[in-house]
Formats: sequence, C-alpha cells, structure tokens
Amino acid sequence: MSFRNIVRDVRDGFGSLSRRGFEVKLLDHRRGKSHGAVHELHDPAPVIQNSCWANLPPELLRDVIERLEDSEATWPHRKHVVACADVCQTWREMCKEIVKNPEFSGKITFPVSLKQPGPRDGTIQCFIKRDKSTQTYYLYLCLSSAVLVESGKFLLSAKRTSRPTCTEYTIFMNAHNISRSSKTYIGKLRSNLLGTKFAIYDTQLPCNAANVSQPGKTSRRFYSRKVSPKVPSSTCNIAQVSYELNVLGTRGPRRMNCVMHSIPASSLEAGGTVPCQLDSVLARSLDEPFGSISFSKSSIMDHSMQFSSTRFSDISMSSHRIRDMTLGDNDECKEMPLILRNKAPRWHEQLQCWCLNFRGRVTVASVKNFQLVAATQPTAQPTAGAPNPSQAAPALPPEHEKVILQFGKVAKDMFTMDYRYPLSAFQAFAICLSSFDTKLACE
Amino acid sequence: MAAEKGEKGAAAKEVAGERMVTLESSDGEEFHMSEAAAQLSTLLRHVIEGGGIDNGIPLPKVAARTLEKVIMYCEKHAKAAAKSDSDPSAAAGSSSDNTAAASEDLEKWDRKLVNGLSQDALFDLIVAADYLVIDGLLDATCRKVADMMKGKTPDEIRKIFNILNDFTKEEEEEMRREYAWAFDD
Repeated sequence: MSFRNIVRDVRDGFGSLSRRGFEVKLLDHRRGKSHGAVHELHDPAPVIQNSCWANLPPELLRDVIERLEDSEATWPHRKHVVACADVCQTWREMCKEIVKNPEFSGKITFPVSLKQPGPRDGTIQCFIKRDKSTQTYYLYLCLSSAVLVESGKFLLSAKRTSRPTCTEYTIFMNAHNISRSSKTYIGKLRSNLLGTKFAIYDTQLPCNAANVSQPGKTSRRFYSRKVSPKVPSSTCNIAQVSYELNVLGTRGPRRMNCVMHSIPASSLEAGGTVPCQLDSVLARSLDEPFGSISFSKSSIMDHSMQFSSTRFSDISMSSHRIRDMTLGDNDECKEMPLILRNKAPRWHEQLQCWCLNFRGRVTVASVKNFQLVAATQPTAQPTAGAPNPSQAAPALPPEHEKVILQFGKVAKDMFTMDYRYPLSAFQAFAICLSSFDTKLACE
Repeated sequence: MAAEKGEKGAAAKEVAGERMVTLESSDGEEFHMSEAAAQLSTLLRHVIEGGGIDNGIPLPKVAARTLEKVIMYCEKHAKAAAKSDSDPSAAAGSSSDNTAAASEDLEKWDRKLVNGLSQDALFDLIVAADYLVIDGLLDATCRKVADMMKGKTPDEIRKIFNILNDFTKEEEEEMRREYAWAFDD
C-alpha cells in the first residue's frame, strides 16, 4: 500500500466522519468528532462498525428494498421481505408501500395478506392437510404445481372442537401450541347442531364506524381497527355458510350457499373493490392505557411520539359491546352482500357420476368437493339423467362465471384449495372447513 | 470521427482515436475516461453535451478510489456494447447465443466487482452510481446490498444499518409473531 494511498484513506476516513458525524446519536456518548478513522476500527461498540449504512439516503434504501422484494418473489425466500419490514417503522412503511396486496400481485407476503382479497387475475393455489388424530387442519401455500407434492408454505391452522350444541374450528396463524387464549388466534368457524349452517367469525372488524382515515404516509398508523379494550377476544360474524340437500335428496350433490357480509356484491362489478381492508391479521388488544406507554429505546425520535398519539385518538368504540357482532348492524355495510353458491355439477351418463371441471386440481371424488361462483341468479338444479340441464339457464356475465373458490380431495387427508378475489385466504379456509363438517348424508 | 480537439478543449483529448474526458475526484486526483464510457453516466453525458469543460469535470462528491471503480465499470460496459454493435453476425439468428453468453459474462464481471468491495467502498459506490446516474451500476450495487440483507434477522439488519428499534412493546410482539410465521417452514 503506497504512502499516498494511506494518506488518502485516512483523509477519506476523516472526511467521511465529518459527513457522518452530524448524525449524533443521543444514546451513544462515546462517539465524538475527535475520533480518527483508525480509532473507529478498534471501537468495540457494534453500532459504530459499518455505520456508513445508517446514512444511506432513503431513496437508495428504497431501491435496495425494491430489488429485494423483486428477487425474493416466492416462498421460502419471501421471508426476507418480512424480515426487512420488522426492522423499524420507516422500513416497515417502505416495505408496505413496495409490496403489493395479493389482489394485484398474486403473492402472499405478510400475515395480513391472509385477510386480504386474493388475485383478480388467476388464483392462489393452496392445499389443506388434515390430521385426524389431533383434529387439526393445516393450510399451506402450494410451492409446487404438482398436485400431490407436499411442498408448501404454512399459512394457517385450525383446531376442531366438538361442543354439545355445535362444532367449532378455531383458526390460528401458527402451527404449534394453538389454544383459544393463544395470541395467534385470528378467527373461527362455528356450526349449528346439525352441521347445516355455519358462521365465520373474524377477530377483527372489517367494517368499522370508527374508521378514521385511510392508512397513509402522514398518519403512519399501525392499527386500522380498534377492538374495545374491555373485550379483547371479540369476534365479528363476517359470513354464513349453509348446506342443503338438493331436490334429489341424498342422491345428488348438496347445495352450498355463502353470504359474505364483509364483501359487497358490487365488488365484482367493474371498478368494484372490497372496502375496509385490514392492516394487520391480528386484533390488537389495547391493554396499555395512554398514560403508561413505555417509550423504551425509541423515545427520543419525534415520529414515534406522533405515532402514539394518532393511535390512541382512533379509539371511539370503547363503550361498545361488540362481541359476536353481526355486520349487518353497521351503517357502512348496508350494501348487498356477496352471495356465493356452488356450481352445479353435470351428470356424466357414461361415468354415472356428477362431474365438475376441476382442471386437474382435484383428483378424488368426494361429496366435500365444490366450486363456488357468485350468485346472480339461481343456479339450475341438476336432475338425474338429464344431460346438461344448466345449458337451459341464461348466460351469466363473464365476471360471475369465474370460480372464486375451489376445494377438493387429492389424497387421503389432503385437499387442494384455490381461491381468488374477492375472497381472502382466511375466508376461503373457513368455508372449506365447513365442508368437512357437514353431516348431510352423502351419496 | 474527425478530431475536434479545438472545439471541446483539453477535456476531450484523443487517445488512440478515442475521445477522452478528464475527471477530477473530490480529493483532487485526475482520471481519464473514454467518452463512450462516460456516456453510461447520464450526468456526465449532459455535462459533456453542454460543453465548456476545458479543464476536466470536477466531481466533488466522488472520491478517487470510488471513481476508479466507476471508470472500470463504465469502460467494461462501453466496450461490451461496442463489441456487440460491431458483431458481424448480429443480423443472423445465431448471434442470440453469443449475446446471451456475453451478457452472462458481463453479469459475472459485475458481481465480481461488487463482491470484492469492503462495506465502506460498496456504500461509496452505490452513492456515486446514484449521483452519476449510472443505472446498471446502481442496479448491481443495490442487488449486492439486498443480498447482504438476506438471511439476516431484523436485529442483525439493525446492527448493520445502525438503526434504532422504534417499535412499541406491543408492536414488537406482533413483529415477532409475524417473523415466526414467515420463518415457519
């Protein structure tokens, strides 16, 4: 190394120190401008090494994160995007801006993706594994296009519990140590005694009279929905699923009807959307009263204080009892809810069975198998022996012909689940679970 | 290409038939770069087109050791572009294999360049690429930084970037659950 280079490096070091030095860290009093570049190398404090990155301009940081998000498009690599979002408020905001919702990207990234509508183009392919011994069901994102390959990213789990008057499936965002008091509880499905009617409950309110403003850069709000601090485990009825025998009684496929309270029928129209989408998959229980917020390490930064005050100003439902509230009560949701019905299978004379085109995603015949489409008019009832009775039905608008949820068996204890906009993974999973439970006699 | 030394002044010297520009780093060192290579930088391109750079282009934001790497990158890519332009088989279909192989080689070269840098040098290069508006170099350096972040826990990333964890306790808990979910294979 020539003398000139050494001089240059030292000069660089000093020069860069003065560039960096302006960013004084209140918590690290050891850092002073008298330190030379050489001393910097031997300083034992971890924060000083590699501190050049602290000065990376936001637009360059954004460039970096955009490339990361782009390159880690599939799981398990996508976890690195989540890691970045867990670094600090600024990074989290940046990541949330860069990552597109599943509705537009077709990708699941954060847990909240599970409660956001699926893609408008194409479907998200998943599979469900059933463990009969523990009465647990696991939902995975398919990582392989081959139907029988058990390669998936874990999404949700559900535990089935039988009660005297009903059956309940409690849904969690983790796979282990799941219990009702678990902090990863995100919703449930409850059936009536006969297993013919089910209600889906979400731990968060998708529609909320206290909904202040849209999450945006200025508010930096972390929480979009507030649950009364007095009722931490409130749930909201977001959908109802019912099963009936068809006109043929037990000789034909059963009829499914889903009323989605949290999704308006207009969501399927041109320009339609699903309103009141969530910021987080978990309900926040506000057990910290305003006065005792612990400011810990971040206290000095202005924006964190700003943040805290906006957060608590959003509380306006403190006096509401909202346990098991049905959404129909809410002003904002008086629109017609979306109704889904199962597509009528056709009778295949030669095979002597009812057939639906599952496009290779379902390979084992089962009464549990179904395809849900939006109901605009009553689906024609299949009659035994009649070839293609549904041909007599009037043509549906193209948007309403799309199969929004498809579920079916591929192996013992293994089922595929494909869903799309406007359903979310959570809603789709809950609807599929109802198919396991219905006690209607099957063919 | 007729010699236009008189018009552009000392800055546009000709070396072996190629027009050169002179650049001056923040620490006063002089560097020469072919004009073709300088064109890769949108900033330099505008400065050159604007004319009047008799005594070289000063770059007060770019230190010598960084400028060295910038010039290496630009010369390499300018040569590669010239080569593919003058490829006699460019019109024929068979050149697509050559083009693919050549671009792969170039990518490898880029990776080698950024991999060989210390963290400080990488930082300086990314900032320089942004300042000089050299898209390809910015892309390569940003990718390298993104690679650095992969596989690190949020805490490790905080240490590298010297970032304070400004989440509340409740948010931290949610982060932990989110992280656990993401890493639950």
